[in-house]
Amino acid sequence: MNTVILTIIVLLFIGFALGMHVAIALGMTALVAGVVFIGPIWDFFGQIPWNTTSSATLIVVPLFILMGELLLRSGITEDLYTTFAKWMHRLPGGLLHTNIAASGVFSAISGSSVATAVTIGGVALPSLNKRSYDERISLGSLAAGGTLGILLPPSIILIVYGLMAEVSIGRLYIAAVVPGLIMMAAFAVVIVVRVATRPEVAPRDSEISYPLREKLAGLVNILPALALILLVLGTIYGGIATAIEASAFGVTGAFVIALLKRKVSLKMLSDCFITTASTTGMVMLIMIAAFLLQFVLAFTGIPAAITRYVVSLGLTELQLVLLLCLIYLFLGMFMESMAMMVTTLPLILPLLNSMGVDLVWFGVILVIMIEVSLITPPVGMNLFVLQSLRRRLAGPRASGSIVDLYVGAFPFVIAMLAVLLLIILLPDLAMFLVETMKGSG
Amino acid sequence: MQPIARKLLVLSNAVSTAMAWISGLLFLLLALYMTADVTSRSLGGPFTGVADQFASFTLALGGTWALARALSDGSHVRIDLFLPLYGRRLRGLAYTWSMLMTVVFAAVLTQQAWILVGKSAARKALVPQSLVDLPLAVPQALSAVGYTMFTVQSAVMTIVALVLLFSDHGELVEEIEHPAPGEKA
Repeated sequence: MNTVILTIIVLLFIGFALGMHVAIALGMTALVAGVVFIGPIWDFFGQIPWNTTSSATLIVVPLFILMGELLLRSGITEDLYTTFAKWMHRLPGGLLHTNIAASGVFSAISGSSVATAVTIGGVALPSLNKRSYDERISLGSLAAGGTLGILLPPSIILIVYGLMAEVSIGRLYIAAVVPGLIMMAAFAVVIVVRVATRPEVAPRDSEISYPLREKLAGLVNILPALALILLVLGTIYGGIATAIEASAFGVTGAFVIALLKRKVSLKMLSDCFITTASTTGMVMLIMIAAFLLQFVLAFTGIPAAITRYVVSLGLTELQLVLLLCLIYLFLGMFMESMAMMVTTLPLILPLLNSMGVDLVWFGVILVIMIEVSLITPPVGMNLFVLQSLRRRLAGPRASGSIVDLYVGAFPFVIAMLAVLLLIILLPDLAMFLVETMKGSG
Repeated sequence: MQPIARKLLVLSNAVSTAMAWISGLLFLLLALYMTADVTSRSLGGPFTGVADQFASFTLALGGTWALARALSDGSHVRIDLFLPLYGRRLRGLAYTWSMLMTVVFAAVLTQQAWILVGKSAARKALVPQSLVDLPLAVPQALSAVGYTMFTVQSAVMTIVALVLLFSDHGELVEEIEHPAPGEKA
């Protein structure tokens, strides 16, 4: 048993050290460990990928990605940012709140943290710099706002978790709504406190005022996209549609919005098709490799052994969840989010099942931990993409160190951990909507 | 880069892109069909009842036909914790090694996918719970075509990486992947 675990760890480490693709590192580890410790398991490398790629449930991945791509290319990003900026510029913290609000809404379109950080950052950073906002808190708010992409529906990470943990994606989406809103509120509190203690970080735009008519016109522009997001979530919550059907509604609605905005062209559709297919290909290969590794691990009895060991420690459910949070906090400093999840889930799911932990509730907790990992040094994907964006906008010589991002994101990490603790101690915050869902049983 | 290697890469990228385009189109068509089907059912009208099956086939084709393009545009996520610590030459070597491993993994998936097609065809298996008698080997073969292209794409990219390494242009190896239109997840 120890040899198997050691071999798997060494193989994964070699794969990661050499910069291999996550899916290939997982798949090759499954292949080598499987052949060495189980025997000729070649058949499973045909059957498991087929079962994965022909699962109707997984169709939500490309459909939600396509919905986001269609909305993105209908010009929603600029509309969102300028509209929120007009409504929020007088608040203490002004555009910093706009970053969070726009990221929150954009998250509900894209389902991806990196895409949210880059897209909103691309629109926001020039405005923030022009108005002399403190660079550290500006970048921190954008990095933190971006993490909402994987917590708020239609989070791709939640879909992958739902499939691996065999829990309803619709229930996961609904469970993530309130924690997502609490997270946005927590980020707003961080900004207010920061601005109260150091007002110079966010200059007030007191001399600029926008007529109500202009503000309302902005809202009208983003209303169709907001209505679509609510429709998708509402049909899942109301039991009118499954997650699969809701994702299909989402695509059709986004397509109609793009048509009405006269943004549909062959080039626009081609870009949407190719980007959707590429992202889907990436997710599918990771899923295939993760299921192969899960099979090899289960066959060698490692998850069962870990479960037996942890159960023998006599931990309570709360202690177990807190312990897992600490492990994820550590892993998240070094690992990419999807890799962290698909590598560890096969090991901990049997353990969570044996302890009777609610997997929907744990899914929300896990995603918050992954969010934290996106903005904690040394490896934080959102920090990297924002630093890259900052260099692209300002030029490599003009821009500062990535340490600015580490410092800027730190207060938001504390806020995230506070929200995490809240969700752990008060599970109903995540679960009460799920329990009132139509058809929740 | 050797002209023949460059031509191979251009050709392979073009085929991968065309396959990805078809995948994306199928996803859109599926969504439109499902919306019409579910809406009709909700309003008490006729519905086909095969939406899940179409979804399954679309993903079997779309999900695998997109693998090659995802590789060519660098969408497949890498663990790049240590890569920034290496020099460009070493990064080129690591990149080439990772592409070689991709070829091996893709080849295993492809071989096993075709074996599965053969087995399904031999026992004349039909798609379960289908309204029409469709041989299971058909969607499985479409899926296997996607894996095959994934293997071809990774093999071509490995060849190009090796050519660059051996012609003292190792620093260009990382640029074989080119970005997709728009932002990626």
